[in-house]
Amino acid sequence: MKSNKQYKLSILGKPPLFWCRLLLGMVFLMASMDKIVHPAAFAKMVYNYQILPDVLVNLTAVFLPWIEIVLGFLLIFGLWMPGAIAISNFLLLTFFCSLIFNAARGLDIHCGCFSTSTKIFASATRQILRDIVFLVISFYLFLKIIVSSNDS
Amino acid sequence: MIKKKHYKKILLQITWQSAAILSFAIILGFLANTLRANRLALKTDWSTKSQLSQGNDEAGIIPFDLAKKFFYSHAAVFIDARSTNNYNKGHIKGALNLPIDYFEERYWKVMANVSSETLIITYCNGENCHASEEVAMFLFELGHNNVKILVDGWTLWQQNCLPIEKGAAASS
Repeated sequence: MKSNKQYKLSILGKPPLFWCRLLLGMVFLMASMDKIVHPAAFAKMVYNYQILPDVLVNLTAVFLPWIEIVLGFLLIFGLWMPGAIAISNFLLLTFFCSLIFNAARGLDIHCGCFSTSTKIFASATRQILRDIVFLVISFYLFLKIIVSSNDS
Repeated sequence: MIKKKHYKKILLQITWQSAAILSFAIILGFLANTLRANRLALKTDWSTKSQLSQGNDEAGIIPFDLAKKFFYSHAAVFIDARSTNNYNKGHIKGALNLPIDYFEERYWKVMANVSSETLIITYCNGENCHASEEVAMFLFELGHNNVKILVDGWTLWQQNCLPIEKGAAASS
């Protein structure tokens, strides 16, 4: 049986891989909540990006939050990591490209990343920087997963 | 050899796990959407015409026949939201040119003699052209209370052989 001190040490002594997947998992969970509660508002935000064809707007609004929530739980519990990390990288890269694309063509829209409320507004630069941070973490996890499973 | 085998194994894992995760999430999303009260239709008409007729924007669309009626009774000012080049090639007779890209620069000059109560009809070309919609929004925000959009206006106007003119207008 572990003492309190030993338990604290074992938590703090976790490798960066653990903290990174915990952080990314929490990010995906937080990002999905508001979108699940307000699907119509999220659909409007997807439409405002003016990237997807009309037929894919509502489908994205219905399914994307659930992909994020499933990813969030898998990352937090460390399950099916290769698949979860691959989708995470793909999603974050897609979000990043969308933000860059819209910033480049001067489209000043609400990100809809964490909230569907139009009152919460972050500048395009801030949104892009935040996405870069998540993308770096996700890519680090991707490399770690491949390398560590190669070592084993 | 071992490395190649390893990457093949990882790639296989990524493939089947990604497929399983996406399938599971799609099933969850579909079930949740079906069971919820404020269900979102899987397909919605996002065209400008549909959105405006649902009252999702402050300015509304005007049916073609009504716009034609207002034109002949001189009850409306027509605003061409296309580029000056296209405007010069041909526009609705008497229409003013207020391209969306030069809205701020030209607004005061173009709209100098148009009161806030005057009926304004904006138009551009094609069902997917959003310039008339954007110009209508800006006009509405600047206090013009009676702004309407003639969707696909220029095409419809020509198809119905209604009066047009070419060249630059004095106000633009």
